[in-house]
Order: sequence, then C-alpha cells, then structure tokens
Amino acid sequence: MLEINRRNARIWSMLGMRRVLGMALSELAEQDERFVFVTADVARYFGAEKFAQAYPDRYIDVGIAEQNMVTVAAGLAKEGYHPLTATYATFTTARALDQVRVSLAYMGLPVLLVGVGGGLAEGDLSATHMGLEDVAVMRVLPKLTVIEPADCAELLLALQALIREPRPAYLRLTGKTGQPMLYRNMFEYTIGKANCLQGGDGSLAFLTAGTVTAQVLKAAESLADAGTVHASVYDMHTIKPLDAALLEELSHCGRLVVVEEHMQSGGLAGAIAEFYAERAQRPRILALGVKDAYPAANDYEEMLRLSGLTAEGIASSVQRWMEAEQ
Amino acid sequence: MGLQSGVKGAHLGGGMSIVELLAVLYADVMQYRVEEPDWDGRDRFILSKAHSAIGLYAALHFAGFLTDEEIAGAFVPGSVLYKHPRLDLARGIEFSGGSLGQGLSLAVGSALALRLRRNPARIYVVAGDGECDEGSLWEAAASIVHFDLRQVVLVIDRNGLQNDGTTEDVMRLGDLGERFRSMGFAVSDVNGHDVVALRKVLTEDADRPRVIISHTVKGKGVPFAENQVAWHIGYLTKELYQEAMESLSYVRD
Repeated sequence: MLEINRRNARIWSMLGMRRVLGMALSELAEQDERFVFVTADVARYFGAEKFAQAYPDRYIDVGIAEQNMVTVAAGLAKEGYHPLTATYATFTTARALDQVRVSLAYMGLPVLLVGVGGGLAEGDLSATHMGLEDVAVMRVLPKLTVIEPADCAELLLALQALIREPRPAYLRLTGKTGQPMLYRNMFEYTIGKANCLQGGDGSLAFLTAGTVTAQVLKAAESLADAGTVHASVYDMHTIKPLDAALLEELSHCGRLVVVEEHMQSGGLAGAIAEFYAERAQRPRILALGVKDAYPAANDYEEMLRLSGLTAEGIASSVQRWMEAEQ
Repeated sequence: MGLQSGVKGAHLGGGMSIVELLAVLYADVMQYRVEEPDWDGRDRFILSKAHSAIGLYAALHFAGFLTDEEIAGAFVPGSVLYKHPRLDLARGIEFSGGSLGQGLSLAVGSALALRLRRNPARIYVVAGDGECDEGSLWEAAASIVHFDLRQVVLVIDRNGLQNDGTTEDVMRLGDLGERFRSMGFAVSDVNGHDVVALRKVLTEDADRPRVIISHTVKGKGVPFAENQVAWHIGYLTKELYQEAMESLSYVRD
C-alpha cells in the first residue's frame, strides 16, 4: 500500500490527507502491535470505520471531548502504547493546549497528535474551524516535533517515521481532496531534514510546508518564466526541529520567501526569523501567510486567493518585494 | 508536618485531609514493589489534586520510595520533590500534577492500556471536590462509565473548601454523589478519617465503575487549621508548627 509510485500518488491525492490517514491506520496497526487510534467523534471523517472493525480494541472514540482525548492518549503512551490522536487542528492545539502541554511537553509522553484542517481547508465552516495558529502554539512547546507534509505521499512517510520512533509530536494536515502530487517516487525522508524540490541561482529561496508547496512551485516557475528570478524551493516538512544546516547554508542567500497557510506570525516564518535573529550574516525575509485576521468564510480556493496564497498571489508579492527593495 | 514548616505554598490543609486515605492505600490496599517501581502488576496511584503533595510524599516515604534525606529536603528549592509532584516512577510518582482536571483522563488511558494487555491492576485517583469545577474531569468521568473501566477507583476528597471559600459558595457542587450516580457510577460515601471504613470501601467490588466520596476535614488534627479557608495554602511558622505538633500528639494520646 505504501509504495510511492505515480498510480498510488494519484489515488492518494484524489483522496486528500484525511482519507489517506484513515487508510493508513490499519497498515500502522499491522506494523506495530502497540499502535492505538484515539479520536473525538470525527472517525467517520477519516473513513476510519474499516480500522474500527479490524481493530476494535485499538480504536478509541472519546466523543466530543478533545481535552480528554489528549490525556487519554497520554495514559496509553505512559503504559507503553503508541497512540495517534486525530481531530481538527485547532481543537487539538488550542482547546486542549494545556493537556498537550502537561502530557507531551512536560511529561514527555510519546503521543502523535494529528490535526486536520490546518490552514484554510475547513474555512468554509468559519473561523472556528480554521487552523491558523496551530504551528505557532505547538512549536513553542518543549520536546514536541512539528511536521507538516506537502502531499499525501509525504504524509505516509512521515507517519511511518513517527510510528517507528514514537515521540511527542504534532502532525499538521492541510488541503482538501484532489490535491496536487509532488512526490511520485520513493524518496529518502528524514525528520528534520528539508527536501530541495527545485534548485535556483542562489539569489532567492522559497521555504514552505504543507499543500501550499504546490502553489509555491508554480509561483517559482512563473517568476523564472518572467525572467524575474530563478528561485530555489525547499519543502520544510519539519518545522521543529528546524533544518539548521540548511538555514546555515542559506544565510548567504540574499532573499528568503517563507510561504505558509498559517498566520503570518509565529509559524514557519517566525521560526526561521528567530533562527537568523542573532546572526550577522542573514537573508532578508518575506513572510507570506494570513494577515492577523480571520478570513471571511468562503470556498477554500477563494480564501487562498484572497489571502494571497495562490501561485499568482505569491508570485506578485515576490515581484513587488523585489521591485520595492531594488 | 515538619515538611511544611517554613515553606510557603505547600497546601497543608489539603494535604492533611487525605492522610488517612493514603495511609490505608499504601499500608494495606495497594500492591507495589519498592525495589521494582515500574513493576507492571503494581496498582497505580494518581494524585490529581496535586497540591496535596505533602501527603503523598509522606506516604511514599512510609512505603520506602523516598529516603529520609529526600523527604527532609522536600519542597526545598532544588529538591526533585516539587510542591506539585512530577512524574518520577523510580520514586513512585505516576503523574505530573498541578493543572487540575487531568489526572482522571490519564487514568482512563492507563486503564484502557491495562485492559489491552489483560493486566488487572487497579488505578486509584484522588481528585479534590473543588477540582470538580473543572469540565475536563467530567469528560473523563463519562468515559470511565462508557468504557466500563472498573479498574479505576476515583476518590473525591470532599473537604468542602477550595481556594476562595467553601465549595458551595464558590461554585455550587450540589449533591455530588447524585451527579456521579446519574452518570452510572456506584457511589459510596465514607468518613475519610476513619481508616477501618476506608479500608472496607476501598476493597469492595462493584458491578460498575466506582466513585468514593471521602468526607474529610481540611487541616484535620490541627485545631487552628481545621476547616479554615486560609489553610488551603497556609504557612506554618515555627510557633504554629509547635502548636500543631502538640495538638496531634494530644489526638494520638
């Protein structure tokens, strides 16, 4: 099931991350007898029914009670099991924040928290269902690993890596069904090590994570076609710990553009800015994200457009930035 | 009591109200091995009302998990025995408490895990009556009944007081037993200072998950602290310590 090839990648991208997660559950349970799935009345949302039938003992639905969900998972982890929790990004990271803080960050219990609806994918349900602060909140917690895959193939590799070596972690899922495919072949996936998706001339690099990566690649292409800049593009799937070696390397790059489906402050761009803050040699940084307000509920694509997070929006922001600073 | 003398923020009152309960659990009811603290067959004890640390440390010292030196240094800056206990299995501490309303959820997860490997060990959780203001405690309680986790025994320390006043003045609890009963628990009331009654109720079996409401007096045994809101986090001076010790020996005689 987990072989990454063109055919599978196409199927997964049609399903979207939620369904791919649901599909992966049985596989994870088969590989790891201590794997347990904990959710809060959104199992059907992942298509987890098959898993529930196959592994009824390792399927735990606590009802609409995210705080309990997190600490119940922590109790399982304390007793040697490998729990994966799944519900909306914001309910896990905001509503149950103190539980995450006490059980994962303080006690260090290896729970894998999965947040769906990271970014604007569920934004048609209004701001209550937007996951726009989750990265900011999770990445300041000690001991947490924070991961945001760019597509479904990478999601599966991230899940494998996290189940192989359990740790306190937050896995952020973005996008809807019918996502673009980025990875069509098996590749070396290492937590904490970014993937270079495209090389450039060294004057400008895009750093990004999540399904918005596909938009960034298109933006980079159109900037190259227009003769503006040959930018490199990096998939920073691990937001914590940051790929320090890469950032060290990029400190000689003139400009970085960080693109994320998250509040403009506190997320990936914030983490990168913190990394460079104390260094004398550092690039200028343009942070593209949602600007300090909840977008009006709308279609996903329309919200991305209004937030400047489509390929066109990203390219024109970069164009303006470069013109203004010349 | 010597522990608390001279230390601010050590919650003497709430520590005293669970002394008999802890004594019965650690001296008689619970299975554990001091030489093998992570023994899988052990009964787990989760102090959800972690501000009663003072009582837990005394019990752990009695049981042999803590050395004389460690207990003498408890609460002292630099000690690993914090004012709220920190997860430390080697010392018999199963949970990092302090943020109320979470210990019971940890017990639910632990009980589900024990059930998965057919381990019949029990999990005793002590929560405060004031702690019942926390919504998350009720999320956990509902799931205990739903999953029929009879291995979990929840003891509510019903001392009637919390930080800002009596539990009924601050946020009315009403008939706490009835609340739990209506959720599907078997509820027992017990005098929490009567060790014989505690032993009986703690070892009973039931055909459903259990809640024990342990009626206690905050600051029990120390007349100037008994039932006094101020003694939720009261501070023992040397003089008060002497007075308290004299009262306790009087009680003992």
